[in-house]
Amino acid sequence: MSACLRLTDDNFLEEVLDAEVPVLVDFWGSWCPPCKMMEPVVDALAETFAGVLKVGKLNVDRNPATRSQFEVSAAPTFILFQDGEVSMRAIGARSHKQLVELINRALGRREAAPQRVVAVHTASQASGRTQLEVSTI
Amino acid sequence: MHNAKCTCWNCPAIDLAGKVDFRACGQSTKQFVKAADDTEETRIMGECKRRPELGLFDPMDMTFAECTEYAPGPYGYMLRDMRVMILGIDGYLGWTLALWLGSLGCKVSGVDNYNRREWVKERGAQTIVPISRMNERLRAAREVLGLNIDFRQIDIYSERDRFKEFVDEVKPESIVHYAECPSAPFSMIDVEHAIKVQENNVLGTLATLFTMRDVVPETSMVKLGTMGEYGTPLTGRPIFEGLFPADAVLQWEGREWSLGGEIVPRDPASFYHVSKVQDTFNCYEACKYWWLRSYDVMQGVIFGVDTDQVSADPRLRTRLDIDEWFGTVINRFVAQAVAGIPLTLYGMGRQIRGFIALRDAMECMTRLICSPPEPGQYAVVNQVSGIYSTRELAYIVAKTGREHFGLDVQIQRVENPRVEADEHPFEAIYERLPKEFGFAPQVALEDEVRKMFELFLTDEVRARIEERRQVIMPKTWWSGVKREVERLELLDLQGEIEEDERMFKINR
Repeated sequence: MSACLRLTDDNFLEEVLDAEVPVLVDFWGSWCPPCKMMEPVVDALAETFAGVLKVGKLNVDRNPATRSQFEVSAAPTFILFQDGEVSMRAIGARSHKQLVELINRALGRREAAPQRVVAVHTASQASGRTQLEVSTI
Repeated sequence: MHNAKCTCWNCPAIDLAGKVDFRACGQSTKQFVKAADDTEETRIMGECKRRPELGLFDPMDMTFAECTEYAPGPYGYMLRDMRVMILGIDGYLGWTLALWLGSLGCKVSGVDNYNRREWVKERGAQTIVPISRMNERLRAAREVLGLNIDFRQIDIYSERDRFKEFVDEVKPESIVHYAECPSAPFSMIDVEHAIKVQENNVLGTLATLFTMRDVVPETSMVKLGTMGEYGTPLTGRPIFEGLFPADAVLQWEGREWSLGGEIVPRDPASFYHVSKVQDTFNCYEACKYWWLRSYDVMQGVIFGVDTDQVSADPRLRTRLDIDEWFGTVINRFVAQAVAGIPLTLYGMGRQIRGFIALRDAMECMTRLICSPPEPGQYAVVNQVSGIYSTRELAYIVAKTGREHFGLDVQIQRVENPRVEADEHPFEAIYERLPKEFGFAPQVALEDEVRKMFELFLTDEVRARIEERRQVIMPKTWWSGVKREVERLELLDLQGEIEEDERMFKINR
């Protein structure tokens, strides 16, 4: 289950602009392949930064007012809001590591990127059969 | 159930036309400012084509589990009497799926131009499992299974006006696109065949996409691609499911970019595979331009003969080809074993591929049909249930033939008429169907191979294999040469099987 907030034109003020903690917003569209591929990364960010910031997703087609207010014309667009102001903005797909770095920089945090457990696929050489291993990056 | 929380946003019965400002994002600033002036009206609203009494509503507000038009079934929530149109319904997969879906309560319609029958006939080959004319097949479906399949003989490319009329009449809620020539060697015979394959596949797909845009834009297209589009990258990098995940990064000159959502590289291995790659791009673009929704199914090499429906009556059997052009490898191996021809490994015989049994493929397709993509979504699944080298497969078939049916099965290595790596790394990712659609393979390879032997050893099928012995050994070279491949080596089967089993134990 996603730990992300479902943001809308109706709750954006309360959940994002008036929020007491920083909020990362993923502006996404169902027609956008990079947005779809970002879903697990964005979900992981919510866990990575639990207690530090909130992560929310806003569908750009369903929420035209917010989309227009922040002039989002490409998806995915990631905007970090702090005290109702834009403190970081990135367009296009990013790896988990890249987004962590961008967010940490915007927040003025110096600590190393938190670790994240990911599934890594390896194939046995002889048969090419795929096995699932878990490792940490 | 995997699709319980899908909403009307995913449902093909939703009518979004004229009610959604799909063009607003990713287009000009002027357009989205205009949208902001009129917020309420530009919200996504839809009407249900099945339940007009609901009026205009927010399609995200109702889930499949909540909707009275959906019923839970073995493969997820499914629209009651769902209208599914199968393009290429007379083929190996098309006919099997028609009976399968019909038995699940779908209203099945379909078109075919009988090209497959023509092409196989032209090569002097035949389906070894006899099939009758379409009228007979339809009658048998009615008598045995109680299904009424709405069939038209139409070429979706050259008769696209008729095709459009039929789609408009039926208003399918899902279109399964199987209407492609599935043969690499057939496309490599000569220029005429290469053109035939590319025309049928590329232009047929293009005509289908335009038809869907004009007539049924909310309908999902489940299109058959092939794992062969990806090739076998010698770097050993994973073969992702169509699009790169966001954590796949490109590093160059000390910089780094996410490749998330970009189409993964294709490396087709014949002019047929090139046509499939072109289809992939055409589908991808159509979803982008017109908000069509499509699952692109990168299917592994198919094998097998059995589903409950096709096995219910001899008149319901689906076709099965074992010739060098239209036979897939496991089907061919079993036929070779029955015909007393040593199973043919090309080159080293260490080509590794993804495979899936006919029954498992039907289940995957059904799960995809039940759970359509979102508007504009182009999604890809790798439809594979196991990974094998051709050598492993030959051993499994040989062992089964020897131990269960008393056949003296041999294996030979022959010249490889194709241009391909016959020894290579292979790491295919096939997680979406199990993780997102609840698919778990039901068919064990050895069991299906046994069923194939049982069918192939019946007098009628065996006789039909014998009648067409001459089309089993490959003669179509990618270079254009036309001569039968020569044997390189007859394998020491007993030693190899023992070695193979030892390797299996290590690997498993």
